[in-house]
Order: sequence, then C-alpha cells, then structure tokens
Amino acid sequence: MAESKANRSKELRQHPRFSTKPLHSLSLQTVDGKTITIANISLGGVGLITDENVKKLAGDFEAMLSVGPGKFKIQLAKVYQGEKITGCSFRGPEAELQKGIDNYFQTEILALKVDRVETMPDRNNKQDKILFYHGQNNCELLINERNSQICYFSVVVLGNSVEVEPKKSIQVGERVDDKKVPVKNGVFLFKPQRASKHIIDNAIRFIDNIEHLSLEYRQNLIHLLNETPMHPTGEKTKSSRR
Amino acid sequence: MKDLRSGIEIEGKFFAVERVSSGKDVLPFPLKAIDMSVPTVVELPEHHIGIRQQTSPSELLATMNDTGVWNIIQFAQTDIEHKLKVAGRLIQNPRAFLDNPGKQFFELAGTKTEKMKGGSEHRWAFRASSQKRYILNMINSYVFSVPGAKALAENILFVADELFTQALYSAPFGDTDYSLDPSTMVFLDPKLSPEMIVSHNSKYLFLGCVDYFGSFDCEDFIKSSSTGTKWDAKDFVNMNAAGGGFGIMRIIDLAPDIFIIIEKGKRSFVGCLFPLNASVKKVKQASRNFFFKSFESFEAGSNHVTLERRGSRVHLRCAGSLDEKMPIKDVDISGATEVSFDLRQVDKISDWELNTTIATLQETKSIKKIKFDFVPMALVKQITPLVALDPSFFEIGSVWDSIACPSCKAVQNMVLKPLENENVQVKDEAINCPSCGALLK
Repeated sequence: MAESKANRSKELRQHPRFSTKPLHSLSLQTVDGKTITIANISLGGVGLITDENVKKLAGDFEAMLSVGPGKFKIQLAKVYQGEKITGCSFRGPEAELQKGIDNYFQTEILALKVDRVETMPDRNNKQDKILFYHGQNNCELLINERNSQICYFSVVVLGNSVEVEPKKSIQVGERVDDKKVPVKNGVFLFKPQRASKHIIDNAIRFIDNIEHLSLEYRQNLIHLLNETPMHPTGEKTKSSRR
Repeated sequence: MKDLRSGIEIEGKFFAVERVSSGKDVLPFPLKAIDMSVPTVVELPEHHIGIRQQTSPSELLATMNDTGVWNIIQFAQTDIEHKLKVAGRLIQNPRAFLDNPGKQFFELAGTKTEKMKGGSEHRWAFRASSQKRYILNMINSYVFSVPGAKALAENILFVADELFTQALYSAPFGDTDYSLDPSTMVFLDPKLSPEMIVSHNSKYLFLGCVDYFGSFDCEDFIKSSSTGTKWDAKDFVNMNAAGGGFGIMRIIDLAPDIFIIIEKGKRSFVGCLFPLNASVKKVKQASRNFFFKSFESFEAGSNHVTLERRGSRVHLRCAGSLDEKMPIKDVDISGATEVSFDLRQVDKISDWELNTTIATLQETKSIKKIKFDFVPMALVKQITPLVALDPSFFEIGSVWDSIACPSCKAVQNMVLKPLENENVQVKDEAINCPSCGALLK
C-alpha cells in the first residue's frame, strides 16, 4: 500500500489532476455498458467514484472514455482502491488521448498558471480594492471591490472576455486581433458577442481553478456568474460619443 | 555703487535690468503675466500666463496658437489670483498636477478650510468599456453629495462620460488615421488603468481623468481648433484621436476652466472645474480659462531636462549639473529650428559636456538658433565664449541673478538682458526693491 501511495504521489506530481464538476462533459463506460462516475482526471489516469460496479472491475480493464466531444478506447489499471475513490492509470496512453485531455482542460491548465499581480495599491482609495490575477496567453481575472462588495469583475480566457456587473449584466466579447489597428502594448480589443452557456461555463472553470484565489472569492464569483442575467448581444456595450 | 538703471557689465558685455521680482509675488519667479488683449509677440511663452477680457473660447484658442502661451485666464474672474497661482504651479510643476490634480488646485485656494476640503481626492480606476455605467454611477453619487452641485449634475456627468470615452477610445491609440468600430470593447492592462478623479470645496467641483499613455497632442488640438480645421460629425462618433479633440471641445462647452496636462508618452490629464451654486446658463455664459501644458521629461539621478515644443521651437529646462549625467543626449529635438535653454536651475556646467552638447545640436541641421535664458551669473563666464564663436547662431537671451536689498535685506530675483539686443534699453526710472521700495544698487 505504501508503495502504491508513493506511486500515486509521483503520478500527481507528473500531471495536474482536475476534479470533475457537473460542468464537465466526462464519462467512462465499461465494455458491458455500465457508466462509471469520474471523480477526477489527469494525463496519467482517472479517479473513479468507488461503487459496486467499480469494485467488480478487474485489475486491468478496457473502457470507453468520453472527454468533451472526443471518445477514446482505453486500457486502465487499478492502482489504488479507497472507500470513496478508486485510482486507475492509463496503460500506455495514446498521444491522441493525451491531446484530447489537454485540449479539454486547457482552461483549468491556464488557471493553474495564474498569479496575483499587484495593481497600484497606493492609488486606490480606501473604499475601492482591485484584485488582479494574470497568467499565460493573456488569461486574467480582475475583481473590483467597493466597500468589500464585488462591484465588477472580468475574466479573459481563451480569447473570450466575460465582464460581470453583479446582478445587472454579463457582457461577453471575442478578442479582435486586427493588425491594422495601432494598438499599444497593454491594450486589448474585443468584439461583443452573444453570451453563450459554453463561454460562461469556461469562465467558471477558470475561476474555480485559480489556486491563489480564496475559496470564498471563487464561490462568490461563480455564484454571481450564475445569478447575473446574460446580456444577449453587444448592444449595451456601445460606447459611442453619445 | 552704481544705480542699476544704467545696466551692468558682465564679461565685457552690457546688460540692462529687465525686472526685479519679489519671492512674495503671486506668480513664482520667473513667470510673468501678460495682457493678451492686444496682439503681442511673446518671448519664452512657456513662462507666461496670458490675461484677457471676456473672449470666446475659439478666440482664446487662436491666441494660444499665435503666441504659444497656453495658460490664459480671463480678467472677469473673481478668483483671478487663485487661478494665476494655479497656472503658475502648473507651469513650474506639472508632474505634481498629474499626481494629484485636485489637490494641487485646491491647495492654492484662499482659506485653510477650503484647502483641506478640496485636498481630498476621490479616484476610481477603470480598465474596460463596460465599466462606464459603474464609473458614471460613482460620479453621480458624488455629485449629489456635494451641496450646490445638483444644478450642474447633467453637465458633470456628460463631461465624465467624455473623459471615460477619451481615456479608453482615444488615449490608447493616438493615431488619427484609423477609426475603431464603436461597439468594440477596449480592455487595458490594469497597470494602465485610467483614473477618474473628483474633489471639491465649497466653491468648486473639480473633475478629471488621468490616463497612462500621454498620447494627446495638445499643440495639434490648439492648432486644429483655432485654424478652422474643425471636427465634423464623423468625429462625433469615431473612436479615434480626432474624436478625442472633438470630446474636448464638448467639455469646453460645458465647463469654464479646462485643464489639459500631458507628459508625452507617459500620462495625460484632462479635467475641468465647475463652480458650485451656479446655474447651467451662468456656466454657459462664463468666460473660459485654459490651463494647458505638454512636456517630455528626461531624468538621470538628480539631473533632469523638461522639453516643451511650440511649432519648430524647442524649449529645454535643465536642472542639476550640466555634465555627462545630464540626460540631454536622450532628448529628441528633430525638426527644431530654434532651441532655447532655461539654465536657471543649473548649478554647474562641465566645459566638455557643454561643448559636446553644442556640437550635437550643431549637427542637427534644422537648428538655426540656440538661445540661453536665465543664465545664472556664475555660469555667464562659460557661456560667453561660446556665443562669441558664432553670434548669429548662439545668443544669451537673459541672465539671472539674486540681489539683496540694502534696506530690507530681502533677496530678490533679477533678470538682465543683453544691451546688444536692439529691443533692450536701459530703464529711465529707478529700480527699486519690490518688497520695501528702497533703491537697488
């Protein structure tokens, strides 16, 4: 058991592990058609919710793994069986499977690489506070607080922006990369787009995986994303001179 | 001891006393107020504050374009002394204004209570188009908390809207040759977040916005608005630098005192002042005052150079030691035909550095004239041989010295001008101490 625990720790160090959420489209089907609930997944394997079906599975078994739109026939080996979770590793995972997982969890991977950035603390007045988290590929989360209440926050991930004025509106944009516009460093342009569930879910997945963000903030932001009405189009974002 | 009116000989040349200023003057030395009601040619417009009487904004802008004097106050103003002081501080310390514009304005107000009240600035940083509603709500709440501001609430909010739009849709681009789709959402790196700034005392509400691009072309704006290149309807909706100029014209329409302070390539402040307890009609009819400044700054340790342009004339204000550490080498003077140096705050000059600087300037073919102003008496000895080399190229515009009054002992600032300049004459009247009136010798 000690050896398998050590192996498991090593495995965790090798690949970031993502807990599955209702937002994720992940499923595992055994060859006899039984659906197994996935607790978490990494490039090295999956954690399955221990139930009678899982207990009955052999040490090595074959299954069909669905990751988002991709379906992969895989070989799994049980490496750990706990009361709640059964850990399984992929037997010689195909590059295609790894790519599929990588793509599907791109948001979570990007969120893991996000750091807190200090923003002009001396210029903020006493009531206002800005929290800014920035990572690779210009992914970011910015929170404006006034009197300790979140009054605005924005998420930029995978070329989409989601801006939330709590309980008022969510505005969604798509990154514009027009070389003709003489944009200076630090200026990003977005085209308003219809707020889709997919983009909002992606923002939630991003927020949920920012390690440097406290659980309280994560829960609050996700709650606000779920509660605030979506802005159907970019109409209200027009900032013309009157 | 000779009477000063006959002039002074310095390094074999005669200089006439142009003026003696007291440290207690409303305007700090060497700034001067000038009556601009009549056409006038102003030497060193960067050091002058114009005063005019009941003139329209377009005429004021035309005067600014013609003379290069960018701070103009209308004589009709009740707070003329306060506003002269504000213009003086803006000219001499524009960076302090960019740091805390409201504080700088109110600090020069009359009573201590008024200073204290206005010194407290409220700031809101923003970085995305969609924050407009939030920012305007904040300004709205602020306005309604200020006694006497309600009547102008609509004007104030309109200006805040313009400032917001300007900061996100004009400042980050600074190029008039493109037009941004108005529905485009702009995000800025939080480090570049503009800030809406508001403060007030019992007389005024001060509103402005600082951005961290410093791209607004103040000179171009003055030129365009005074030479008939008006903004048209397309600029009204266009998201570009031209739209920014149009926005400022709209602000001038709504507020009597306009502040534009640009540290080129670094930050810009556009703001205005609203009188409290005034009606919209009264504000519309009030004469306009303009407080404009555009500069570039170069620093190396305690030495620094501030550059200002007026057309092809470049004015360099140097402070510290003119040696190899002086950042003159970083200064871009391309296209300049005349370069003037303000040396008043230079404490020493290394001969080698002076010669190197001059050689570099001479290599810039467009330059036809190099002028030295407010040359400290101690440095005249070093500058004079240089001028003797080519008097058609080099010129000492003025010499600065301090003089102690033999009667009250107050130390006054004295400006001397070379008598060889045909516009300079010895004075007929005696030169007296501005503090006690005693004859200065």
